[in-house]
Amino acid sequence: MFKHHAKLETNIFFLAVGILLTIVVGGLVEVVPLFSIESTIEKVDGVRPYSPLELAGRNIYIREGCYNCHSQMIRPFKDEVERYGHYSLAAESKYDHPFQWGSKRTGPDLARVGGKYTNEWQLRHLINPRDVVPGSIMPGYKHLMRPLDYADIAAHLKANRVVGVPYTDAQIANAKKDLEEQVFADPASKPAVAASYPKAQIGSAAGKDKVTEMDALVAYLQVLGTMVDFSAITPEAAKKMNR
Amino acid sequence: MLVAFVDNVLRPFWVLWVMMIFTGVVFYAYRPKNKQRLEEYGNIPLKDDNEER
Amino acid sequence: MSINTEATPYCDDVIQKFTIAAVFWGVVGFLAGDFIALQLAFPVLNLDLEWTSFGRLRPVHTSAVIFAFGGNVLFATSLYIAQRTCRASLFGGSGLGGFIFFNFQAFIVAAALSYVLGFSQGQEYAEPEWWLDLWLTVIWVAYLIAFAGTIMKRKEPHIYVANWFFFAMILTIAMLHLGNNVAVPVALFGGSWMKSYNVFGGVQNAMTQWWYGHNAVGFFLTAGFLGIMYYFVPKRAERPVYSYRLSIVHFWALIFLYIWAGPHHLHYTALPDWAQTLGMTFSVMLWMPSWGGMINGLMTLSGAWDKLRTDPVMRFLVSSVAFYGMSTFEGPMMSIKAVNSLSHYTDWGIGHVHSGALGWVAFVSFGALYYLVPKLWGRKEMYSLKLVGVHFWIATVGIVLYITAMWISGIMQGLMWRAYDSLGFLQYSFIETVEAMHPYYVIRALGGLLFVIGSLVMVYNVIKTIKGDVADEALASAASGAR
Repeated sequence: MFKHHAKLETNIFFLAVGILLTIVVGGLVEVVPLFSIESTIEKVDGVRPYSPLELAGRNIYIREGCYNCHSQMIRPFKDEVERYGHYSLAAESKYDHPFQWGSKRTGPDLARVGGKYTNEWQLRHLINPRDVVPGSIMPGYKHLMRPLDYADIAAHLKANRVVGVPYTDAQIANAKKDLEEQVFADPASKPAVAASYPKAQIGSAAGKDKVTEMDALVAYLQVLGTMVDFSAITPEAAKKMNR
Repeated sequence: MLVAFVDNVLRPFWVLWVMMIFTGVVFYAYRPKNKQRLEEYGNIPLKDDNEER
Repeated sequence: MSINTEATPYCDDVIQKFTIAAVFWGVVGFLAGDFIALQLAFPVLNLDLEWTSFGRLRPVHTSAVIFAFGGNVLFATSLYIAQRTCRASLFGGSGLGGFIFFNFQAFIVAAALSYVLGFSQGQEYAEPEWWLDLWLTVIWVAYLIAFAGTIMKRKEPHIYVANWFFFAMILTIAMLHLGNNVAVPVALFGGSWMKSYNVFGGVQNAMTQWWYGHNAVGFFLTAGFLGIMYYFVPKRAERPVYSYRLSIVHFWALIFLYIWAGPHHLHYTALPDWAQTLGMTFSVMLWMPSWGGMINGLMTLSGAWDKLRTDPVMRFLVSSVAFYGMSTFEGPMMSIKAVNSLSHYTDWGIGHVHSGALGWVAFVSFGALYYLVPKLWGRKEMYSLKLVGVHFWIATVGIVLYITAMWISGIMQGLMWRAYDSLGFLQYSFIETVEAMHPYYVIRALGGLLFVIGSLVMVYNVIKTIKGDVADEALASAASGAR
């Protein structure tokens, strides 16, 4: 059988087939089961698609390359759990296209930054980080105070639905309205967007009368890691759920 | 089919088939019979047509 | 010297273009890297402008060094080597070669502009949006045709092993690029042309991304550059590779094992444990073929070790292989979960990448470029070998400063994050760990600056060589008969 290798050396088609077989098998064994094995993603309640405003904010997070310095993946170590909160579950990023787990913590992990700071703090920090954290090396993002372009927000929801995020027809139809409502509505008035996207941060307007990019980014940051209610998960259930 | 093959054969028994393939490649390359022929190939870069210009 | 009466008409004008582009993008990429390194030390350099913030410039740096510099080096060397080792002229000639060249340069400029203007897929080393990805696919297919076509035209019956590495690189990068960038454009639904959503999300996206990301390192920056090693080291040393049989084992073992190693970027994350364990196991095993290749490269010099002293080009090539050995030892070590729990998310990873990128990829490229430039422009030798030596030492000191700074800051950062005080509380707030990094970021930027200066010495030397100048010292040594 070993005389076949001589074929590989002298015929580029055989060499191509040999190489392709060699490189395909590893991906096959590691990637394919992630889609077929049920335990890959835990079954937990609370994880929902991003609201239109949060999705727009997430796209700004991606645009500005935040993932270059911030992770969104808390590892199951004592110090990380104490610093950032419950370790991250696969379910929590199941609607993230693309995932933003990151690979470097030049700044802190953001997987559970939601609700840790007020909207005002986030705003000041994003405009000039050194105003609130003197030693920070993060860039300032004062340009985010400009109006958000959300004319095509429904198209973004539709594209997400194609890749598997379960937006309903109603959510897509109301995308623009939901987005504006999340910025301007009075939280006490129980607006429709709050029913459609539980735990969405309502009424965070940074600008006076128009939706800014800052509103979107802050709304995204404020929902990060808050969707799953970990007080409702017992240690036994958690153990069964994850690993 | 493919998924079942991956889950039931490729993944659990990777040590076995990886070792078999590796042994095969090493056996091929280091068979005394092939020594002279293969080492001769090492000279290919040195016999360039247009070297001294 | 040659017994062939008929010389093959090599198509070298394309190679010349790629060579110049490689030198140019190298300097651009190193400068961009040093600038963002300075931003981490002095945040005021972000300038508070959206286009100059670290988050947008870091992809410019990584793409410029990996794809623009590395890519042009690979195009130049692979098409040069394929023609020589096949004794065949480039398939498609200057026409196809020029098509690849101009499209690739335009692609690079477009990609860099798109990051600066805020268009990004948000996946590391795969930032270009969907239509740029499609463009790159066309370029890559043209490259595959030019390369494989040249191999098919060959007069030499055997396909030399360097070409296997290049070929594996081309095929694997095609697979990775297509596999990781399947995305649904918003434009399909009447929205923006500049935004798409990857079909994979969450944990599956993480796995495909690092299957891509790690093998971009494994095939683009390792297999491709091993192809360079397998040609230029024997060529410069004027002796065949130490063991051709070892190179066969090296090749198959390396490409087989590399593909599995991606999950080591996802240790202790929400990726299932079985995948993490597989990734770790294969990463550790990868140490063996890596060192097999290193031994093969280094031992090619056995009996000619004096060249290391007399020939600075050889010094670049051999040192690169030594750096390769170092980072392919460090890599498997960092893939061990216990080590990774400390090193991951810290500057240690950045240091590791750069010991490979600067020490291995850039050094073997410099060696190849210093060999290629005189050959391509019909000169006997570089303008000044002494300046090659100067470049070598400046760059080496730069690398040493860089990686030691990152080792210290990375390990320190990792330890500070997990440190507890006597009362059982976390000892350091996050910002205290950031502030502790400052001196090391300054040292790292200094190391980077040296590396940039070295590359500028190379630019000068290359320009002088192309113009046909010969430095005095070169004349003197030519007279005495030494290289």
